Amino acid sequence: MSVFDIALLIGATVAIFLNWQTPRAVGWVVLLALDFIASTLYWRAGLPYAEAFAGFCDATVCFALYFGAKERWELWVWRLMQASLAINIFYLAVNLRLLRIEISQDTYSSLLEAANWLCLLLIGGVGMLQLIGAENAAAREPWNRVRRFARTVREARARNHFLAKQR
Amino acid sequence: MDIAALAALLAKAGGSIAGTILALVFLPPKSLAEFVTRSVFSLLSGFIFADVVREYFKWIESWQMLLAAGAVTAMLSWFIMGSIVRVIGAWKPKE
Repeated sequence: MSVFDIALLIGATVAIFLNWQTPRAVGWVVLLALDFIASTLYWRAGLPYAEAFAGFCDATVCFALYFGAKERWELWVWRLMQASLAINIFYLAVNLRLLRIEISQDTYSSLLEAANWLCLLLIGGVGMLQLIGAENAAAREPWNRVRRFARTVREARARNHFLAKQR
Repeated sequence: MDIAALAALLAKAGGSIAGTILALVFLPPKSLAEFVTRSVFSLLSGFIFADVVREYFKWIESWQMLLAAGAVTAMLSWFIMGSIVRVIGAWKPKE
């Protein structure tokens, strides 16, 4: 395991502790961690089309988030995972020589790390806001700078998934 | 049917399915009916036009490229079909 992998797993653990009272958030962090571990193990094993496998894992997480999300912040995590999937598809296309550009593996890994960290920061941030009760304070103080973000923390998603009955 | 032709058919079918699933991840439909319409359109387009797309982009002839062409065609078809459905929906007479 590299220092970056360990740092990411520590970040995931912190996000889990911050969301201890929200089992759904803990579930998403565990799912993201499993996605990361599975794709990293596949990559390290030297198996072919590692970026396609990573994309497959990301797509699975995206489906889980889309169909399982109940609150608005979960859909933001879904958007970040979509970005991660797009990065994997892009790198696969570059490796298959479908695009006439070059992109280094370091750039690819850094972009994926950034997407993973943003997911953890978002989930951890939501947990922290709930821990300190900031969303309640924001409701009382309209001038609060985090009002816009905090107000949406526990807000239900605007539209259900397409298999469910729409409101 | 020889092995090469069968492999090409499988690559196109696999590419179409992969492209449709990817498009579904990025742009989910609003209803079950829209999901069915878009999926059928994407799967058929990916299967039928994969060769045309591969030749247009001058990609070499291999199963990987055929699979990629099928996926690209299916994804594009998903977005195009969605736009058409939205345009037709916008022109519906108001009751």
